[in-house]
Amino acid sequence: MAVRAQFENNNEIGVFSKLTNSYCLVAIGGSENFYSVFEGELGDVVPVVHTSIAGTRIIGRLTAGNRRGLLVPNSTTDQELQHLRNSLPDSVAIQRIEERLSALGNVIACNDYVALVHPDLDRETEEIIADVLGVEVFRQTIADNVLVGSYCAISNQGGLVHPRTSLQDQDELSSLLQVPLVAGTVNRGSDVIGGGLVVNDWTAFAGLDTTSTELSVVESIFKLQDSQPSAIVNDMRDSLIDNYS
Amino acid sequence: MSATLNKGKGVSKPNAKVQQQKFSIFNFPPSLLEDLRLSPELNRLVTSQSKDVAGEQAHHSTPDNDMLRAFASTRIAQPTCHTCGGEQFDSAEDQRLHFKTAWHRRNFARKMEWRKKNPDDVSVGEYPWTPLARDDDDEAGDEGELSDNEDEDDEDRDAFDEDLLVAPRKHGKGDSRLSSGLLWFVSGNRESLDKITVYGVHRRILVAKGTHGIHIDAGEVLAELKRLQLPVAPQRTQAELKQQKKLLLQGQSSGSQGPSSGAQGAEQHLWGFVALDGGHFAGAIIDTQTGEFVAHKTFVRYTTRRKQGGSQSRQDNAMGFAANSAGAQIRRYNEQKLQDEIHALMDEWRPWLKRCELVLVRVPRPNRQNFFGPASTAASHPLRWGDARIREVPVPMARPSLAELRRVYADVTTVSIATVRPVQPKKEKEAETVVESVDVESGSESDSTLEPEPRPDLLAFLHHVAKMIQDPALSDDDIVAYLCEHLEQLLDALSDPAVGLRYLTTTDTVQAHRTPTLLHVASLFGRADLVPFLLDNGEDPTVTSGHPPLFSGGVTAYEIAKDRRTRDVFRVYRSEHEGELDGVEWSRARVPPAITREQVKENEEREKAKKRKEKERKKIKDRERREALERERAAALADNEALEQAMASNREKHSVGGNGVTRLTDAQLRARMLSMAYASAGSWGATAPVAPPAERPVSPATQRAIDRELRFQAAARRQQQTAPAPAVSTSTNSAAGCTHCNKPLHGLVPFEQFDWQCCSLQCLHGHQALYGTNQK
Repeated sequence: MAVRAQFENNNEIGVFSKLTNSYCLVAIGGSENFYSVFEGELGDVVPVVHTSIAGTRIIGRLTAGNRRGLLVPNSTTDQELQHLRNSLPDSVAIQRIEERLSALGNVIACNDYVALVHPDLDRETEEIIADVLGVEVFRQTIADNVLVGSYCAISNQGGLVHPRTSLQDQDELSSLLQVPLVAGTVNRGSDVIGGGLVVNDWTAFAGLDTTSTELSVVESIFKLQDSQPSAIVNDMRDSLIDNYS
Repeated sequence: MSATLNKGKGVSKPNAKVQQQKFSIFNFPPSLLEDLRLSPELNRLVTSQSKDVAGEQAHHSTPDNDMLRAFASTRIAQPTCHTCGGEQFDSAEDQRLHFKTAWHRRNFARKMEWRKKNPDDVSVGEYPWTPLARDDDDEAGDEGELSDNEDEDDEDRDAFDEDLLVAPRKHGKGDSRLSSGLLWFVSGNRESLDKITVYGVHRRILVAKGTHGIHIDAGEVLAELKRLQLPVAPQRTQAELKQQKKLLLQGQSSGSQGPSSGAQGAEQHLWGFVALDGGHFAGAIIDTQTGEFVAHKTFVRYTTRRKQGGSQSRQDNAMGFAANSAGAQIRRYNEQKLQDEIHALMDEWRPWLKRCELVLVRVPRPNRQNFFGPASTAASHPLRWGDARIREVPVPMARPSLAELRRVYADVTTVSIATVRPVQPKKEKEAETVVESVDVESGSESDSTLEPEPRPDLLAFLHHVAKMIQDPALSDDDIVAYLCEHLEQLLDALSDPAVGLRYLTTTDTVQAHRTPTLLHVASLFGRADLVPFLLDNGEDPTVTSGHPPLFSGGVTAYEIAKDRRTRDVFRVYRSEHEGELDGVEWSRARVPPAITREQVKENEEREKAKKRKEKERKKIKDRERREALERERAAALADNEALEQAMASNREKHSVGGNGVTRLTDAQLRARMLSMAYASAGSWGATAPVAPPAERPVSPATQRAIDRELRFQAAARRQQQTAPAPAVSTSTNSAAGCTHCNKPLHGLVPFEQFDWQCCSLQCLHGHQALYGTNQK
């Protein structure tokens, strides 16, 4: 299911939240509306954690992570780090990264297996990404844009990339990621995919401005129509019945 | 051996043809070796390999089916890399591996660079950043695979035939698919007319250092290659091998281990391999026959500066002082230890190194001086850098390690095999027909299947003449005389249709492609008197080096001319034979409009006059400069004299005694200051030329010194006037004189106490005795 949400009248929810398969971070805001949208959708599956990073609310742009780990910039305070360690599952490794390009969410796009990173990222950072997130790291651009994290959203099921990504680039990326990709927009034509959309393997949250066409593209490429955590049972029912009858 | 050389990574498909199999440079198949020759064209000519034929099939979808694709895109596309020019891969794993290669990274950098320059360029399909071709050093294993592909896509041939012609022009140097680091050989027994298998061997292996330039003697290179060939190792049974190993082990345990034991196999062919980079050292002695490492050693020491990179010594040198941090000291120590270790190892390996046929090295230049041994024992180093056996590693190399040595060694000693097709363009044919129909004298290339063989003696004669022209010891007249003597043979050779248009291209020099005819050679070597003779005797000035000229950048004999004089000869010849030489279109020979001998002479005259004028101008300038110099010197001399006078008078004045600056009139003061200023200026030595006193013009430096003194004195006087009349003791305290003895303090560092300033310690003590040490 793809859900629309808004953070204090702002549609760029990817800026204020971070969603992975094992946790969800949301920014501390004036109202709890935003939080409750996530809580309602994910509450009983993964922890939804209120946090700030370096005292700011733009946590989605400052952090990068997947099922296995979370990378936070060097400016993260010790309290925040401690809070994250306390709230996230023990299986999630949290690592503070010393990197010139400190908006990690903008320069890293990753799913559980592959990370695309900004071409100028430090070599050491690249190694840390590979270690902490357990991914293969590739320096890439999306539609000739170095901010790979801003201009795409990828999950283990699929990916949405900048609308001006050429077909050949899409082919190259999709074979690299081993997931289908589609070029598209969110938030009524915004090309900043990473800003307007957060996605994991069974849910997506998009800005409130997102049109239903955009939402249907999101649902189809990320295979969200029937991918509630329980959906697998529905999928398998036939074969189960076949086997055990 | 060839099996061990095959890189595990490269998935080489089984191929029926023996020739497509990889083999090492030590084991050329004898059948090939028999008529192997260096290919003059290939070692310069840029040819395309078929490797991106696959890229031709890249999907070019129209905007219409973009939408379809977008929604039917649950499929995952074929693994490609468009950064590297549409490279395709068999599997995603291959693609991922490729994304980690240096080749990809280089191309990626190029792409980013291009994008930075053209932020709004949205051209689709082409690769405007002109991806670099794959270096075979990156993935040696893939070469063979590529040439395999060639055989399979015969259908695609026509499609990319044009590319083959155009590509080198379009992409320039970077696109040469046949790496220039290799020397390409062709084997005489070609399988078919339109496909030649070529074999590449690293240039550095065959050619000694310092001769890597263009002029490579094909014969020597071939001889070197043949010398490298090893006798085929006799097939041994398992038992024999075991026995041998046992013997070896016994030998080692009995203590005779080390280089000396290696001497037992006198027929052993050894190569050395040493690499040092960033504190990592790896060295090996390799038996070329078996490809095994007879000895090897690696060590690592922490010498490079973390994050900043570079060695500590380099940093120290750059900074001008040695950093004193703990890390710096550790690194400095480690550098020294590393060097010592290497020296010890080299000494241990001395007997091996002496016997090595080649030593591959990869050592950064700053480390070279003392690599093989300490500088103090330079004469006794096991190897010297000037040694002809030392060869740079011709391929990029990662950080030295045993595995890397193995990889690079395998890479370097594997023959690269590629398949090329000679270009037979239509343009050339047209040109030939023109020549055939009208120019009876000049030979023509024939495309007929029954290609007549040129008479070898004629070819030999032509080659001999070419060599004579290149010989600087022979004058033009000598050659003309020789040619007159053998005129018949020359005419025979030039009019024999079997002798091609570009008959010299088959010469055994790699440069031969530049000078395909005698006329070219003569023109290139500036044989101005020979040119008309050759033209008279049927040389065609329209022949270009390289064909087709449009794509190969071929030039005519005129264009290759060495100097103006030679060019003029062509133009004069044109003026005199405008109508006579039938079939020779002078415009096609690219000779500019004719000029007559008179004009040439005029030009020369003009040139000479210009030169003469220039010479005169230069002479005048020279003289002026000399005079100015003399004047200066005289002035300096006069200054010196004046200075001495001034100093003498100054001394006199002081010996009379009494400084009494305050009592002097302005005029007196000025004169005195001047003299003092000269004295100080003199003490500055050569930096400030000394100016003459009084009416003589004063040099700026001296003037400044004088002004400074005057200002200083004036200030001192003002101070005294404005100050309330002091006690007697301080009244003598002039800024310029000793408080006790009134001696001028100029040029001295005074001894000071309270407001006293004394010329010497004695004075000070005297003053203290007079007035006490506690003022007030």
